[in-house]
Amino acid sequence: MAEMKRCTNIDRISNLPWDVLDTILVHIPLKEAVRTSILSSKWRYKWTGLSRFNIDDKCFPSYLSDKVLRWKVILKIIHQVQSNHGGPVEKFRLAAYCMPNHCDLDQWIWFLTDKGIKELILKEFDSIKRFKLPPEVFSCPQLSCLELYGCIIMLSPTFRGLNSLISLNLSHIYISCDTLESLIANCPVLERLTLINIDHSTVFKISNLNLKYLKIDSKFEDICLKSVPLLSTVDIRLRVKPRHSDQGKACNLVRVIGCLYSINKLILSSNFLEFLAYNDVPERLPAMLNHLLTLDLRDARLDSSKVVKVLLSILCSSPSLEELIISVSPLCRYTFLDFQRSECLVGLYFNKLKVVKIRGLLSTNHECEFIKFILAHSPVLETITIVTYGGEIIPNSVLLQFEPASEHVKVISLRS
Amino acid sequence: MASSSTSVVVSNKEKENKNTKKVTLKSSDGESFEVDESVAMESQTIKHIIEDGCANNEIPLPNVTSGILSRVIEYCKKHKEAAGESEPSVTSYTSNSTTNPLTEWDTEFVKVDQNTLFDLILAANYLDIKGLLDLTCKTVADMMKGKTPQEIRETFHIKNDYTPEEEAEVRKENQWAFE
Repeated sequence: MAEMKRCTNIDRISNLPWDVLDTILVHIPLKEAVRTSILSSKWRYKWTGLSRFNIDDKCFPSYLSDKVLRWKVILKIIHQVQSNHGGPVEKFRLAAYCMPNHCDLDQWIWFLTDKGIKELILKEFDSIKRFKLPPEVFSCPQLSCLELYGCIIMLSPTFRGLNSLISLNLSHIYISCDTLESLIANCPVLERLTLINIDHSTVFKISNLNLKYLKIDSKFEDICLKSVPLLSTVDIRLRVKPRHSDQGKACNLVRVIGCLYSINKLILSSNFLEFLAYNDVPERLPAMLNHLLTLDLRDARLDSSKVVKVLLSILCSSPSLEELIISVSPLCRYTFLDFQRSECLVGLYFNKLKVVKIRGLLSTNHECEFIKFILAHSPVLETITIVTYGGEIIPNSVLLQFEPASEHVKVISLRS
Repeated sequence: MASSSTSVVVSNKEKENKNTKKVTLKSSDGESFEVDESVAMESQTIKHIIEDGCANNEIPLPNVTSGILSRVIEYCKKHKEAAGESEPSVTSYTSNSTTNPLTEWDTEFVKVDQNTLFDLILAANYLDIKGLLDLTCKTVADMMKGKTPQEIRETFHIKNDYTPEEEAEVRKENQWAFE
């Protein structure tokens, strides 16, 4: 293609429109972006106008390990930005080991909310749970992603909600049940909620008409998922042994999981399975989980007949299940896969089940029967992977006896 | 009941033969390019012009030369094609986001001289084609990463107009970044 001969030594980068240059500079580490200040006089303050700031440990030279001094550096950055910044700040991420002065941080957050911050990530503070987050954060109209670690959250009485918040991630946070409930309920476009190690909330009450993804890894005594019609993925791990609940109350499995009609993916871990097992677990849930595609049980205590009942009950209620993953807890000395007791299950066919992965088996008879059962009742099964811990892998001779319903199934048996 | 092990994918090639709407784009140096409307609409700017009903005969693009426009069209065609053929993404929150199948093609696409690269950036900005803007900007960012300020100046022909005193001042101001 004939192109006009052009002088190839023109500086075309320094005169790029600012939003284009910003798009370039946000792809390089903050430290290098700040170094552009030395390129020419034109470049001196360009970096202070960046729309995204990511302050992490890479910003500091390795010898600077004192957390107070590190904060001094961060403060310098913040002050320069405050003095020179023209446009909006879209994203601010602070994930560095340092000791912030709370007054300074308050002021900076004010500045950011003024600048229409959309993504705010504050992590790894020195004084965990003593930093009270300025309530202004919760009246930021454009905030779409908020990730907080180690602070105290209190809402002001004028809190009306975060209308643009799509993703909320709270880790090691001190927040009361009511505040958390109010925060979640008043974010109309919230899609993703992650709660890790939340203090001071014994009961999680989650109600949000738009929520699609929920992950909890925390201590709690009870959980209530109400009005979550779009909830598609649930991943819950309970960090403490559940307390024995009162007799006469409804079964936890039915109460918590049984109402998640649009659920696609369930990831349930260890103690939470025990929690769900409280009070009589029915053979099948009152309503089918017609959209459940993936069931993933982690650290499952299959030595408890109650937990096994939870597994079986969900299996009986999931006609569309495509993927079944079970990781047996290494604490189990034996497993109790007494599935033949379930009348519901025995006659069931898993017409959509394609992938099965079970790890941590102990090669007991029950287990072999269970695998045989799965194979015989899964007409479209593509692969089944079995991993046994220690001991013998299920011998090929036994596997060959199983008569799978699916012609093309691939059986993989491994030892860990 | 055993199912068949392969599923049938409806070929996009069958759709090509149908009557697809076309638009004509005119470069700054007077050359006309006829493209499928759907390909042209990869550009938000063009999309708005079409949707506002202002695209009668030709859409003039006074900021884009024919050489650059033809490359931009190539990019849009390739990416539109790929978008049409890939399976609908299954939202899987535990796996990583789907890798771009066009990574190799994109890498080759931006192997151009600096002038062309900047022309592409400006065109992508003017035409509001996010994917192309991100790709070209990231390419320039990669050219900057890991280089000393002097190396960056040389790469991009930036003239250092600081006096030695000023330069020392700037270094002091941002000391932490230069250590």
